[in-house]
Amino acid sequence: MDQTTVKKSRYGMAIDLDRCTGCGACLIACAVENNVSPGQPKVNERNGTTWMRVFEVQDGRPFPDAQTAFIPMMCQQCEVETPCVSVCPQNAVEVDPETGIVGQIPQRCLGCRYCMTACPYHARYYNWWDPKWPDGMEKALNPDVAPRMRGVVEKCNFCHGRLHEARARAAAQGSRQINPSDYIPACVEACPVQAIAFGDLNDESTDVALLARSERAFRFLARLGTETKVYYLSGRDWVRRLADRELARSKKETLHG
Amino acid sequence: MPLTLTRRNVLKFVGGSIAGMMVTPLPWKLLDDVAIWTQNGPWIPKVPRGPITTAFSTCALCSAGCGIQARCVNTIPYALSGIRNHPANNGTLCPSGVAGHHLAYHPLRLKSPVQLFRREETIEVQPVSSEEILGKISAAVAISRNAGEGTLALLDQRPGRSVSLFYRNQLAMHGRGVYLVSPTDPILITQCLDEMVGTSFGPVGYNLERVRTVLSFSAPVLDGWGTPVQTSKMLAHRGSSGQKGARVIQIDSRYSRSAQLADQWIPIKPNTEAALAFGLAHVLLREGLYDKALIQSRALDFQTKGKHSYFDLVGRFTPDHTAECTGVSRDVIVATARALAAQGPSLVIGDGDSGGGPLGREAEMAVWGINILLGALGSNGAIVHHRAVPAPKEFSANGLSPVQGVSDIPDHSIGVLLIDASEQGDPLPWSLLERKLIPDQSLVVAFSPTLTGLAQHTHYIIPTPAHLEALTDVPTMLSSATGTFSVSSPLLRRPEGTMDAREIMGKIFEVEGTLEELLKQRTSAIFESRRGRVFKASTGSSVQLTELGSSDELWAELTAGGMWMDDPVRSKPLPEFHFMGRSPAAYERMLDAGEGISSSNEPDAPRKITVLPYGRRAEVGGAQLSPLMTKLYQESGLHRSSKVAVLNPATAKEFNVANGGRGTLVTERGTQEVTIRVDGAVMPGVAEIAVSPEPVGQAGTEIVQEQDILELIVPDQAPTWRAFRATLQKA
Repeated sequence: MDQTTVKKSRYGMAIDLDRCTGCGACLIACAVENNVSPGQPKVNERNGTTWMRVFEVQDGRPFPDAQTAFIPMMCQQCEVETPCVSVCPQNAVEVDPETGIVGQIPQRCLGCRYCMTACPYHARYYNWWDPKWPDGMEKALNPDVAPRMRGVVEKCNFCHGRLHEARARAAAQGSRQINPSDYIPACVEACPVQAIAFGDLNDESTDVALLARSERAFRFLARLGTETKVYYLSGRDWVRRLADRELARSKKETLHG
Repeated sequence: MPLTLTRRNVLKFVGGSIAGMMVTPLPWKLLDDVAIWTQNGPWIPKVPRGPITTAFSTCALCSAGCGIQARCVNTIPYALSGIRNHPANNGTLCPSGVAGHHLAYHPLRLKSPVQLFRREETIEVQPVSSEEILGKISAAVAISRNAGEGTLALLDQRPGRSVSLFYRNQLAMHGRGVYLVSPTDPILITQCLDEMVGTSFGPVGYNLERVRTVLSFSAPVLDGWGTPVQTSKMLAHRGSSGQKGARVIQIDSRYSRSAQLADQWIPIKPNTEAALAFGLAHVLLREGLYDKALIQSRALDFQTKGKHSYFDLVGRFTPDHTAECTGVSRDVIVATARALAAQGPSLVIGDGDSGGGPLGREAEMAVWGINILLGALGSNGAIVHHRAVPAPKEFSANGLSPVQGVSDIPDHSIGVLLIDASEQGDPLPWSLLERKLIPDQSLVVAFSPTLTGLAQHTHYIIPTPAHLEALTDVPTMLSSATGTFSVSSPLLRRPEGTMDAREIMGKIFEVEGTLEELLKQRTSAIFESRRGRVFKASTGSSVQLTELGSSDELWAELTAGGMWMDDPVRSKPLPEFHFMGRSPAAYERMLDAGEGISSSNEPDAPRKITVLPYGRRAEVGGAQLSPLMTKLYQESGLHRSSKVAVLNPATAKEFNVANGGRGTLVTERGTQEVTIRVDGAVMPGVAEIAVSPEPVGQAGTEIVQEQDILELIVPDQAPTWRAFRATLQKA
């Protein structure tokens, strides 16, 4: 390919729910990578900030027949009629045409939270507090990601800082195409059971593209037609059936398939 | 037309200007800028700037020994990831490991020695000099050496390290020193096997590659029990990988993570694991699903003249009787025993739970018994021998103090208790330790980087470097098939005023040397053994040790995220042994363990609930959790803390508590408020409560004593705390 043209990508994920153990390594790796601050003393499930959240869901059968699955839920990177984009009065949400990644621009955000209301996946979080780390811990922040301030909404952006780093690395080598192994989001990298695959859905040879075409693959709320780029995999019917139900916001509203 | 300046024209001009301005970018730009100004105040932390570098080390938060790669700014790590192809973690990390570099910034971090004063719910600390504390310890040690009242005991929260050998060596030379470990420590599990064999059987591990069926007695086999690579392999058959993995059957009173993830969960009444083990053995014996020749030739108590043989013992645990004791159906017991025999090689794992306590000596021996019947222990089984990691000769020459569980020593016998809490270890109910101390006369000192866990109960704390601030080695994991050795090298500069555990003990026993020298001696001993392979983080591949030119080269690899792995050895044939151990009244003890009435069956305990404490490795009570772990606990509820009790809906109804409501657990030791969560998967009649305290995200104005469910355990109870009874009241 001509070095002056850049192949358009559609970055996506495939998460194998039959392998996920609900350890939460993805959640912590995400917070470390993206400078999400520790919770304030009064933080709870409703006002906390986690760019991805792992929901524990059950099939609703009683003891001792119950079955459990863990569903990591982050921004689903809607491709069509992206709900948060269309409602933002500040143009603070943009879909990058080069990558398909839905980005959030906190400096433009007014904190109206229309996007949170519009998001069918509850994958957006509002900063109720100014970010604060224990004394000295600021020295251990990721220099590639600016902390967001109180009063704005934030969400997963497939570790945009890592994409920039991969682009810089490619540029240093005289290329405009990044090396796929240079761009792996923190959650994918950390997963101890390698349940998450990431890559370009446009490239049919990638693991993620293969998994997205698998018989076990499904997407949450596919009926909305938002063509999300996060795929889930499960061979369990009751887990697959959850995809058409509304996601609970907290553990209090435990799902039943 | 002449412009006339009238009031109307002025108003029209102003109104028109305002309306016109609205279609210009100006107000919107202003709005944007105001948003940016207000959102970027000086109170928003600024990210560090400086050269970006990469450093390698090994995670020492547990004994998995995962290789870590740190991205650093100004040489300070800001993100950790696993080293690709590392034999323990292959590029991945657990949540605690990912945030391991934050522990140095823990809000309860100590950087100078303190004396503790406990108030009702809070702790006050007063600075003291380390010389003062060391002076008090030295004086007390001298008294105990001269046959004064009380022994000197050292509780090692991370046994198996090189510094642990140093401790044992010094305590042996002291004469009246006792080396203690938590009753949950894997060393004590292999001691049960030693008791059966009558001699040291040598270190053993698990070769999970060989296994087709794993039967776990409450061990968290799919939740941090093994290395990430081992867990990944056990789950390999899930999903679309097309790989083969072991079938996991989890026996558990709790709907634990391993129970959730296992191929089959067998719920069991609390504290009846020994009965189920005997019941399974009964089926294996009755149906001849064992190596008769081997057992009859080696087992000295299999069938004896009296009526106190293993055969007699197991004979009492018919499937029907076992079903009555354990609550597991007769058919499940029979099917499970047959599956273990038919779908071999099989492995049965005891090992308990790091927070929930040990299974108990008799239950562990019962589990070893099934392994022997299944042929798991022997030349071709999944339980394999390995050699101890080579150590400097001086340790074997001077002798080592024996390893003892805290429950194994007499009450009121300790005059000086030193707690090495410099590394995270398994939790221990303070009540269990407290009863071993001489009341009002003992001196208790902890070496800990933070004011958490057992350190909160001591008189003094000498601060030690935090995780990744000092050198330490990582002992071999119980699940490892061969001996391993790796070194966690510092990635952060340790604060002035901290001392590592070797320094402290060196001053107490007046022994020269440093931890670095000790670890280098160990590395030399390994190098001189000329055996094993070395994983090199720099290349992501392993080489034979003999390919390295010197001990210094090995040291360089080990301190840069490398790992030494011993060569596998041929397992020794099973020697003569006693199924029930060699202690007097072994039969009666085993029978009591099997027939013992479970706490959930107590007829005289109306309106009481059985509390099942549990823990997750590196996140258990007193663990130095990263401030960021609030994401898992308070902010998402994915992990539960000691403040959450999970009940079956029927149990919640019985105790008149509702989902999301508050309840109070009461025992003779005290009370604890909990939030009720209702979960239909939980066994009726029990409350599942994690041992983990809630992570501290931000420092408060005062130090609040940790509310740990283990605080409620009544000291007179058995040495295990897997289940205890408490009253549950609506708060």
